[in-house]
Amino acid sequence: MNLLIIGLKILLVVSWVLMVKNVLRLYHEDTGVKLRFDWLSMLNISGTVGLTLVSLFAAIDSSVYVFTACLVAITIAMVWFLNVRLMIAGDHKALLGLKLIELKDIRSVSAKFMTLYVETKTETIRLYAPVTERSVTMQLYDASKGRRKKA
Amino acid sequence: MIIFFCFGVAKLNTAYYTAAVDEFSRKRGKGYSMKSESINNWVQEKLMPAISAFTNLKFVKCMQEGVVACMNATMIGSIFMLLMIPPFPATASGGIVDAWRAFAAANQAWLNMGYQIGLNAAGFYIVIGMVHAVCKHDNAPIVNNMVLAVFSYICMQCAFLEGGGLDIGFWGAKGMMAALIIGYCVPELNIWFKKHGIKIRMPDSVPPFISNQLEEMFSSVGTVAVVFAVKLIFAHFNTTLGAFVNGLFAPLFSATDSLTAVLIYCILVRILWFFGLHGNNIAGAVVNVVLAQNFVANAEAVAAGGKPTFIFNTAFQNWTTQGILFIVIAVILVAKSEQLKAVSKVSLAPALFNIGEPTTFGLPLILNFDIFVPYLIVFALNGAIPFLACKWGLMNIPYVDVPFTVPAIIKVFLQTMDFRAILVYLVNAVLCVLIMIPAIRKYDRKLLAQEQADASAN
Repeated sequence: MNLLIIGLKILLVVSWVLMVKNVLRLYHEDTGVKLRFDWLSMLNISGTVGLTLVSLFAAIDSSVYVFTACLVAITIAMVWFLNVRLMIAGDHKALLGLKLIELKDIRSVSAKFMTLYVETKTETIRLYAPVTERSVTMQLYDASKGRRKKA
Repeated sequence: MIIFFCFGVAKLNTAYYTAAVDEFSRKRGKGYSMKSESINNWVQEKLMPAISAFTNLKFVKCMQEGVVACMNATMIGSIFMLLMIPPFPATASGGIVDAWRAFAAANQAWLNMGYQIGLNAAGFYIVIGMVHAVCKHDNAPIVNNMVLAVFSYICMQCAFLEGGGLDIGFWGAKGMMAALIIGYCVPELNIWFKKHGIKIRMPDSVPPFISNQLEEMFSSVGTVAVVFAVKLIFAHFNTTLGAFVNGLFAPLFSATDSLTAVLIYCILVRILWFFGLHGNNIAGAVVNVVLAQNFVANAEAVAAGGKPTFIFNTAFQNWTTQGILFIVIAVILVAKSEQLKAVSKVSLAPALFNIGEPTTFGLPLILNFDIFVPYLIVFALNGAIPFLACKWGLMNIPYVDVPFTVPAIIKVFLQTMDFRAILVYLVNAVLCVLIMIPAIRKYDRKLLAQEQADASAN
């Protein structure tokens, strides 16, 4: 059980690393990338950060094995859920969850209930309740209409 | 709840660009009853113009930004607190209850640290937010003013402990009002000193980053001198700025076991919250002592085989804070704007566990004149209805103290050990939701119009 919890904690760290790696990838491949979030998104990120901190520091003790393992597992799910909802844009590209797309490839942007639909040349990407900043959505929309001002 | 914290922020900017906006716009026109919102119209048309001057005050605007600045930290602190204090009554046991308690016990030390740093240092974060807002408003350098304000806050709100270290008891809710005052006054004072020529002119040959600091030295010294003077004045009277300011409100409460006292308490607490102050803590400084005595007296009476006699006690106090959930339900029922829909998503689960901050800061309830009047009425009813129900013998007087994070509908039963309390709670809930709906609908329309205006402007 010790090893399982340690493994889960490592997996949690890996989940965060993957998210940061995706963001860094966008940074390196594009210009004008700004890590800004609306306050509700910040609240969402803060909640996940808080849960991550608790999970990482949680004592690996025989009396609380099951609870700790469940907590860390839930946190990993939360981080992944955050990962697939993250939406950041640069001047030419956008990170939509786990996918990096060219803005010029966007054909349309629409929303229904709690989901954002971004139609590209090859596929339609769905983002459930995106964690983002309002201007990013505007960028996507402008790109889809071909009205985006060049930086 | 933890799951919700992470999943629950359903925020969609995207609808600005979709047919959904048009749909919402059309729908909002339907079934919109002017009659049902006449009170709010009166507030909007008569009261709001008079109050708008107040809301546009620089201090008020900066205060809003300052309060928002502490939100992320308080969110993280809330998660630590929730895991540290399992939301179960002391008598509950078995399964997840025991597992959670064991987890909290095994991790108590650092969970408490996260809670203290996240939630109990909120005043500190408010200072930072306030200074940032003031400097942005006055186009003044942030770093130096921030350093001065933080210095002043520590100086005014901390005391050295005998064994070493600092007492930070006034950094949390108790220090919020002082944080607002210091976060605003210190940079203003520093800026005033600078504007009035109290600075050193350096030769052009001195690098700007050095000359800027030296030029500000005199104004900084002047500001620090004033801060120390104020500190010494308070120290002379064996108090601190935070204690003094909180004390100003404390005499307002001479809690007695009466409907009048309950109503005054409920309304005053909410007015304090409305202005961004922790009403429960400020009022509770004095009131809690009386309520605790009443509670103990009730417990003793029950233990002796008698009946509790004091209605307004610590357990009853929990009833007066249940309105947040009713407000969230009203929002869920009528919200069409993206902001309110997002707030309702993030606020529901915390509200179910009696945590009001996401609603208070998200809706927001602070300085929100659009829903001020019904907001006060709802919380007044939260006190009046159960009080009268107890007085008229419709339910038992609450005599069991239950952790505040227990969902209200369960808690009211556990506190009274009386199923009739659940009925009283439901009646209260229905009334409060009905009262809130017109106000929320009005506010929602306003937000929707703003969102459309933003969308068309962009």
